[in-house]
Amino acid sequence: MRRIALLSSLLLAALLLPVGTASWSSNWSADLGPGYITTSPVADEQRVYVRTSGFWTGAERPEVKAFSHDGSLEWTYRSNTTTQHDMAPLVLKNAGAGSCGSWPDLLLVGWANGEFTALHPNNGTLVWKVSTQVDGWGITGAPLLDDDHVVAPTRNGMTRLCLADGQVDFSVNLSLGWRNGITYADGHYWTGSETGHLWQVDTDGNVVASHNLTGQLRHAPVLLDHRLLLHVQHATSSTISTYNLTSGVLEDVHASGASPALPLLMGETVVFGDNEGLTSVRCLSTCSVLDRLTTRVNGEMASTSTDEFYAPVNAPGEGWLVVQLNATGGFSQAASFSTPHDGYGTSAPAKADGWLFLGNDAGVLMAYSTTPSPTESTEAEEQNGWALLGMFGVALAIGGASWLARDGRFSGAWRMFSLTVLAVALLMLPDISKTWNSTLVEDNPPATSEWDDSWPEAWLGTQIVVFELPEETITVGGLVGHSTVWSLTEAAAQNEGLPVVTEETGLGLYLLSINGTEGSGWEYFLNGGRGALAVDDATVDSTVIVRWSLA
Amino acid sequence: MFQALGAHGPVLTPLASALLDITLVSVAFAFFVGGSRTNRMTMGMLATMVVAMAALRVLMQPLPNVQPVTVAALLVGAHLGARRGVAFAILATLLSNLLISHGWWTLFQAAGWGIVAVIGARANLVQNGQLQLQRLALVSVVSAMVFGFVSTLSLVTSAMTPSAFIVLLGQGLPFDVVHALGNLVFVVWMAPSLHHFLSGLAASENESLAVGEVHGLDA
Repeated sequence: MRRIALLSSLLLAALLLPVGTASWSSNWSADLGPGYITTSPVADEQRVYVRTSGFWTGAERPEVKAFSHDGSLEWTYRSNTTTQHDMAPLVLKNAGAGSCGSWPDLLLVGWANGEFTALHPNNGTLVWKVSTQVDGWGITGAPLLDDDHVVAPTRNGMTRLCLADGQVDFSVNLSLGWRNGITYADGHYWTGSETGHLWQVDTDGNVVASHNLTGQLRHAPVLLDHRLLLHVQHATSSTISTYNLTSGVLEDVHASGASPALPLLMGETVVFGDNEGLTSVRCLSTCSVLDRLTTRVNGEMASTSTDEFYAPVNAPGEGWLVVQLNATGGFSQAASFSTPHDGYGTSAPAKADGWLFLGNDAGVLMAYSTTPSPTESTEAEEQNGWALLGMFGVALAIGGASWLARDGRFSGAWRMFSLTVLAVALLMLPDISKTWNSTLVEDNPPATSEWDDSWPEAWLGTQIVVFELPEETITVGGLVGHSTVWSLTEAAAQNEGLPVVTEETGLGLYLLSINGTEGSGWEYFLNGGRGALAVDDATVDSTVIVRWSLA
Repeated sequence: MFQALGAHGPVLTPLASALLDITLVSVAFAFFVGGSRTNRMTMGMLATMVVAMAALRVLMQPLPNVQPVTVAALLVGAHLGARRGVAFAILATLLSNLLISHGWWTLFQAAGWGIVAVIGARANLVQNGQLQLQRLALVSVVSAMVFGFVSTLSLVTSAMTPSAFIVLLGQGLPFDVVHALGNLVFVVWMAPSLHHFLSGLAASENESLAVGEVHGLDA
């Protein structure tokens, strides 16, 4: 019994230890309603600004919200015409003046409906608005601040706008882009595309050159000395490459995992993320990999000091990874930063004046500070209370089993012990099953393996859903911005007016019927590979073919 | 896999479904009464057990893959022989699936538990009238895996490659482990009582056979 008591005490002590790595304490949180937080909040001295993202139907639409640092909602700006996912990062610009005029403090927001808006950060009112081309979606990449201008990546190129009034300085057509931010280097603007090009545009808006890449480029090129560092995306893998601005030579540095994250420049080190983990790279005469860390990072990363950065782990039940970089560019320490809303996430945190603001696919903005608020403390205590109760229950059951065994009542001991183990196993089954399935079915085949030549070319590079109904096969293409099988399926079904019935279960959302057909069950296939997770847990790439078939 | 958990195979036409039911009931009946003479008490008590286990299975359906029928099939096979074990497995599956969800997969589940009953009959789980609990525990774990394999066969399609089937099996592994853990719970909680019940049933049957015509041991 002493041993059991000691073990229980140790387990309880472990439970009471802080969850995160840093000295952050949960202070407040705000549920933003429907939608995800796909891109990082941004913060200034007074407020934190955050945007929602989703596939919008009915009366729901995406919003940008501003909260005071202590959690009061100050304003909301809503786009009534945007229906697709918004993932263009928010950008703050201080008031200033330039050759094209003067401007107040601005919050710059690109929208999936092609609009680029400048808002007053203090009240959310519109300063100016510019419309750009929409082809399925509009602006999804990060804008570049360039003196008194902002250069926004449009659906099929880039446009430079005056910060004072949004007047279009130039607009140039390149090729289709997706999350393709812009970088200024060597007197030119550089951006990638879905067609596998690195575009070079001069400051007058003339296309200077396009360099062939081996795949899609979905981030702003990272400038390091005289090189651009690129994380090129392939169907099931990626390549870290460099483009030498002096020699014009494109070189591969490292082959890595699928779904690259937006790279992060930290001093002389560039950190890359993807399905296989984090990779740090430095360049001297050539660029080389310094260190690797196994995890799954597909979104944004943000530095919180010169040697520390946060990376969202894009997996069920995961939070953020806090990684320390050492002097040689290696990952010296990595710890998880867990929140009450852990899960899939691609958004980096924002840090300002002793505050840390985080959000993920759960759509809840979470604020951490050095002092916890009474409300959040109570919530945390409640959660700890339940966990403690569970721990006591398990400890009591195991203690009881031991006591029975000591008295020679082995039958009773086994009964109590086996029941406890089964109860714990059943409680853990959903998480274990998800993790196990994710491990087992790591990468799906490329979408090209399922592509039907009879489909319109406009669907290339988009998200497609095929419903194999008993009476006919219905295909919905050209969808964009969906992050889960459920979101994508729901959107496709709504497009075609097909009723879909689902059921919430302990293991996730289960699709019962499509268009009234239940049959012996529906299965989904991602690019031909059998779906492994519940539909609301299964993530999809921006280019994917989801096929629903009756078993 | 999760979305596939509720998917068991092709949809049967009403005629095919009826044929499946008739076939399963016929096989169960043949195994029930065939081989050796079965007295009314055995039939009645076994039927009661079928109903009880089917009801228990239905009650436990909210717990993923906790299957009381597996251990019961092992014990019925061990006490009353493979034929009656298979009959019990078929009837318990059919009856419980009529309440849970009936279709193509019923065939594979019945086959899975039928094989489990045969394993029970062959595994020397009862020696000198004593239930070998440790052996039963081990066999129940193995049976969970066997049942998982057989029931997964219902998902096989002509387009499925062997590697895809192996992945499918792998995806079901956490559920098979829970099935095995559930079996262990049933072994320690339920097996001694079931053993007592079935021992009495077997003894009464032997007595009846001793005074009547003995056609040999059912196995």
